[in-house]
Amino acid sequence: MSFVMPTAARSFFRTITERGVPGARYIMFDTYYVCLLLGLRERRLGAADQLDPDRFIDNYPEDYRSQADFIAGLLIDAELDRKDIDLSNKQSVEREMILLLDPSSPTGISGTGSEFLNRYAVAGFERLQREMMPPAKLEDLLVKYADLWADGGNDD
Amino acid sequence: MAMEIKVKGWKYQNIRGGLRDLHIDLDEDPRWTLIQMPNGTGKTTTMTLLRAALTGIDLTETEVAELRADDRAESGSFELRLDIDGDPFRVNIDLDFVGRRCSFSTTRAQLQSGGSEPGWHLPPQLRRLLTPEFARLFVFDGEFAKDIRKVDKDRTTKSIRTLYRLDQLDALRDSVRKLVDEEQERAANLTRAKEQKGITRLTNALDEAKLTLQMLEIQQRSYREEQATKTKRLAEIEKAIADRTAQDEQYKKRMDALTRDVEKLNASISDLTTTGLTVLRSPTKISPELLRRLRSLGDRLTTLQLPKTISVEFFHELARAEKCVCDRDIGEVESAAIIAGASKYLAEDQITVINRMKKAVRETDATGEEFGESARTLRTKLRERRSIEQQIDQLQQEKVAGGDTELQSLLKEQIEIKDRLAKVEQLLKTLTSTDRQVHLQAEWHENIHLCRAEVKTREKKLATATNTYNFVIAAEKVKALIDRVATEALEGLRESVREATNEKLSRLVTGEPLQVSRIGSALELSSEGLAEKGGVSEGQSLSVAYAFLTSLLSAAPYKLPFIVDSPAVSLDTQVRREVGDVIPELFDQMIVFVISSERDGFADAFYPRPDVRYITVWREGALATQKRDGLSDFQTFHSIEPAAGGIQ
Repeated sequence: MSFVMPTAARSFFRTITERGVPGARYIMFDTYYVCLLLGLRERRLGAADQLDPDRFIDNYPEDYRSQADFIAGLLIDAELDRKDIDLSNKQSVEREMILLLDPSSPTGISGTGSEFLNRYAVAGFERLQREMMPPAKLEDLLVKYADLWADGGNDD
Repeated sequence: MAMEIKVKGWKYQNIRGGLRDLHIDLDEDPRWTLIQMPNGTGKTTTMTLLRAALTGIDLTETEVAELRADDRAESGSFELRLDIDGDPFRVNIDLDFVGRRCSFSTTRAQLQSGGSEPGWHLPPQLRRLLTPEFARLFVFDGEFAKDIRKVDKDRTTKSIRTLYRLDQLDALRDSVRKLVDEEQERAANLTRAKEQKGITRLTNALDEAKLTLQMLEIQQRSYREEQATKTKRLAEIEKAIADRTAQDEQYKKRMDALTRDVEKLNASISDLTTTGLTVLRSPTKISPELLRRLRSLGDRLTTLQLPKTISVEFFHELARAEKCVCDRDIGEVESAAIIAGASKYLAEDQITVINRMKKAVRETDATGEEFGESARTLRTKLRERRSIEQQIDQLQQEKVAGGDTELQSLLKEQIEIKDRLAKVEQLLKTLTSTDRQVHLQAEWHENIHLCRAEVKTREKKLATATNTYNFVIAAEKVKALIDRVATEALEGLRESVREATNEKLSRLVTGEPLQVSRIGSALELSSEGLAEKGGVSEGQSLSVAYAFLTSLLSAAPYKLPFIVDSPAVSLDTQVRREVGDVIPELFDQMIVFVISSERDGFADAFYPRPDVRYITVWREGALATQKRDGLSDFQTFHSIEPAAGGIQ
């Protein structure tokens, strides 16, 4: 399944994607990623019908390859929490990892795991939309995004 | 040239009717063979076996059981020898009476080994012809004489189609249909349009894409011209502003200092943004909260001793072993249970992923504060820049307030042009960019390169659909032509077979004229007074069948033997004689099974002929069947007196 963008995220980030920044290359996956992390923090899955019909990329882009294991870890962490799995129950925890990981896939994440990641990105994007206007410049996005993390994740 | 098939003989082993070990040998190639077999000595059995050997169709369990010589016979066989265009073939049917099965084997000259090979292997071109249905024509079934006049049986037209290979036209038609299917399947990857309506839709779609491309190119030229004009005007304005402010030394000094500060801040903000983006891409540097969660997960997995050191592969290997590690036997039940349980364990490569993740979290030197710190520095710089920009505005406003209305006007225009240039630059980027990231955002009608690609895709779709459409139209024409050829060929053949049939009927049936008026799904007869007489007699019906059959077979691309059982038994003596006179001339090889009562009128019509083989087969009580060759025995045999010995 790999990575599918929340439908409305393209136009929300369009200005900074197209304008670019001298010396820095803002890519489509950055948009997906900033949404994803917020969704994972909230432990909330967005609706699958809020996703694009097609995936935009099969694998992590070069800039993110080294972060693949962390993203997998955050997904496991979020799912264990969202499903209220008893963390002292070895079998339940192992079953969840079997469900979410598939080392034969390009991302190391199973089809089910990818589906969850994409839906976490939808939830994260919904949070972003509530918190900020479409960013005109990358520097504005960075500052605002740092504020969101400094807020401690409260949605009110 | 017609393919010729001749029967060279056959052999029975352990077949009912006392046919324990009997050879019928026709190697001398007689044109006519008359085999006298009393009822109960296996005429029907022989016809069944000949048809099976000629068609290669397996006998049913019941048929095999019925062929059994007696309860002691566990197996039997029937071997048919043929000559096909000069090449010898031998088809053997082995009969397993215990298992009620039969199996075929074929011996042919072409086999290098000279031995037999399992299965029925007559030449491929005969396989389509020699269907059970068609075999009934020349291994003649008495029922056929009745069936060819039954409309619902549709034997006549089917026979003509099979014999004259008109079914090959059906095969040709099927090939055309298959080609069309393949073409459409190939095209379906690109487009589903198959009809004119679809072609029109694709043409309109292509026109739309081409028009859009023209519009985008016009827009591009227009934006470039505007960009050039406005850039030139901006330079003029900036020069005018510089000229005006240069006259005020104090003002110029302050403005230059502020401008330098802004430039320095711009460079610093650009660097910080680049750094910030790099830091952002590392989840462990975004927030202490995320880092804590990852570490906590790693610790939790370590506490749980996950991943286990035993993987799913271990259990799959164990399930295949004969003994468990505890030395207990592993049977099927234990093996299934181990495999079912294995799915609860991680695979080795999953274990690797988790260990890698734990190691990465353990070894990272991130604090989680990096992104926040980077953003704070960036925010400070942004504030500084905003403050300096405000000071520049303030300075300009002071100048304007001092009465310099022209400067005010220039500054206003400068802002407007800068805004517009930024907008035009943005529009041009969307319009002309080749960057994949931009393409991921844009629609095809917003970007020239995407639009060109769309035009190409639509051109390809239209070309494919047009080719497919033309192909389908051409195929329809070919199919219509094939249908016409098939219809006309069938009509022509029907008519020529009908004429030949009537010519023979006029010789066979004297007295009232009996004619075939039409060959449809059955033979339709016309004869004066036919209705009043309640239809044709059995003898007349048989005559019609013979006349039709011989006409059908005579011009066919195959020369087939004609094998018939009791051909004259139902005919009155007068008709027998006529049949006996006419029929022999109709076939190049004819094998006739008769009973003694058919000698008068029918068999005796052969006596004056030179190329006739006479065989008499009989059985005394439960003894094995015997045979004798020669006219003398043939003529003197009395089947109705078996106790006295068949041959006198």
